Amino acid sequence: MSEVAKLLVAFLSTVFALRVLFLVKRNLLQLSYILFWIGVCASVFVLGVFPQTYIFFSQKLQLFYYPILPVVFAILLVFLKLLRQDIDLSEKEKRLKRLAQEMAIWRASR
Amino acid sequence: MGPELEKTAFIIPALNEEKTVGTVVSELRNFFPLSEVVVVDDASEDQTPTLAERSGAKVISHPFRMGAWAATQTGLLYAYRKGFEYFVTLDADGQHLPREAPKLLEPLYRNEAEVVIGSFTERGGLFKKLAWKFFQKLSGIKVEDLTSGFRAYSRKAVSVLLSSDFLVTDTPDFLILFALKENSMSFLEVEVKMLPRKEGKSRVFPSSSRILSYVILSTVLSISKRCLRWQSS
Repeated sequence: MSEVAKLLVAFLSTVFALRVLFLVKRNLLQLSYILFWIGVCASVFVLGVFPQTYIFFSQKLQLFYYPILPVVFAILLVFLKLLRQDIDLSEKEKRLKRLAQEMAIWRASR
Repeated sequence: MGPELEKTAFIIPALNEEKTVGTVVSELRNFFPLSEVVVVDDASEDQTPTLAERSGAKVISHPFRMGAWAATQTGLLYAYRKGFEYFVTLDADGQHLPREAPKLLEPLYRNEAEVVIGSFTERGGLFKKLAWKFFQKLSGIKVEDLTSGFRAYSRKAVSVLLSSDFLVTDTPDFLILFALKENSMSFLEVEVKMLPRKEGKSRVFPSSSRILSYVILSTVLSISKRCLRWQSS
């Protein structure tokens, strides 16, 4: 990877991390999610500036196209994140419906 | 069937059924004057709650639409907290005949079962019948009319059904049957007469895509429940 590309990746990942911190500052992002996004930024930074990290593992796995390893890893991470979000949404929907049921019963019982 | 009727509640989930709900409630009040009739209005846009109340039902209205099962559960929750011992669920569209309810209640009163399902296997086309057979084999639940909403439950069975876990879907027919089976509730199925839907499409299955998604989801659920049971045994 060229030095310019490494600088670009480092810059973009840093900007993204600052954006995440800004969202936390404005109370627009739950603190529990910050670890994930800071972790993503840190991973992009490290993999971009030090490509030898994933090249080493790609060679061990005998991959022909080394950059595919972080791409596959990123896709898996996105799927896990989406699944986690669906689980959370399901739980919230259950709670919301239960709350609505309780409210309906309370109103009928007045 | 005297004193038990005072401890019996009829639960009717209703969505835009102004044409039939009044008749259903009136018939129930005539046949079972000692019992409570609860109509749970799932945010109807017509006169369903007004007409139900005028006919003598206790009406509970959802603030927004949550589906037939959520409405049924709201009614069960209300009646359970009021101390009722026996619960009958039926539809507001006039398909389920109030005069058939004693066939469900008598086995319950005699403690022959915790859950009594009113079965009318003549309804539904070939596809529905094939689907029922398929799900019976897959789920291991030996109930002929798997999707009948005309059921009677004991208080013990209802205590299982009140969990908010059943709110993950609008049509938890299988989820409920599995849960009841896992909690060792005894089932009984009795033949009852039902009328065809008087008008309109099914509220629960208004389209083919909805039916298809129900079939797929029920298949996945049946497999997951049986596999988990196998893994834990």
